[in-house]
Amino acid sequence: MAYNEKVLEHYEKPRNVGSMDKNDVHVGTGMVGAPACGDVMKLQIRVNDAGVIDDAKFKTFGCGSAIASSSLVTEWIKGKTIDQALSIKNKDIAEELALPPVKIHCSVLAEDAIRSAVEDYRKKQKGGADANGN
Amino acid sequence: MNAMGLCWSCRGGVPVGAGFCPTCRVIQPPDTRMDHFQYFGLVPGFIIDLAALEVGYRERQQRFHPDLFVSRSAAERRYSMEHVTRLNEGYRILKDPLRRGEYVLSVTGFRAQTPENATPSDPAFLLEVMELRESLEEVDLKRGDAVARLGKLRSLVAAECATEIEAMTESFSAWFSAGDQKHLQVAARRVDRLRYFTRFLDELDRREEIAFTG
Repeated sequence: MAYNEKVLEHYEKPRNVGSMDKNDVHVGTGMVGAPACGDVMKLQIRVNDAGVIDDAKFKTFGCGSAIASSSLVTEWIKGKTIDQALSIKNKDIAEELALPPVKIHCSVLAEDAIRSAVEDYRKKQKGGADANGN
Repeated sequence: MNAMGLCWSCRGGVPVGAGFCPTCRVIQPPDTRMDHFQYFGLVPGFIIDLAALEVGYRERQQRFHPDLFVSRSAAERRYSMEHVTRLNEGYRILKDPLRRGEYVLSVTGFRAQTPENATPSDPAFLLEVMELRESLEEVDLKRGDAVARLGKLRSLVAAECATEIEAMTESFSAWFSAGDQKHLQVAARRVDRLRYFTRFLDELDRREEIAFTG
């Protein structure tokens, strides 16, 4: 299958690959997987005191579309508030990357990763000190 | 199965599922209503008689081989091809624990298709897979110890696969004896986990080949 140009662009030059300290209270870590293909995706966000995502990193083991989806998402959520980030839907990702129907689940994975990262961040904020260090 | 059908060639009676007409000996088309277990004459379930599968596969491969039908009619040649396709497909699915597990889930009606959506429900497991993937990525394939390091990862994950297969064997058996859906749920989770490990091993195979060939 031929990949779309934008997918290739992100696949060959993925943005924001890497990891942040998952024990940092300002960092939320999202971990999602696609059981159908065995892909795993980790998305991390760092949220500043103003509630804005000032950094995002990802690590994805999977197909080109999954890598492109997560790379794109890290670009999109940087500089956004948590709520703005949560408003990103898989449809937006799939449209931007022109994903074919069989690859839509990759964009779903990326959307879930945002939610999972935010959930982790919020849990840490609520949990305060005892969630830290773990 | 005692049901009878009619031979497409001589119109004589043919027991359902028979490969050849008992009267005119002409090859019959494969019965599309049969599942893979029935086709191979195996007791359905996750635990199967693997030796019987091997024997059944080889025996049918010989009987239906297209080489035997080159001088026969177009219909006979087509039926021979259909049998061989059917045979290979069934063998491929039943021989492999992952595919067999998926297949049992689908014939029981529990899950026709593997869920495509994410499973954030088990972050600890996903973290384990992520860490394995990272260790695999860190192996420098150009270095002399690459093959040994890959081998270590392989035995680690092979042991994980064995654990999953053992666990799903138990759950599937519990389901076949008690019929409780919750056992299938557990089995399905095991099948999913096995799929993650299997994909990992696929990637390991690719890297090992690169390490070997330099």
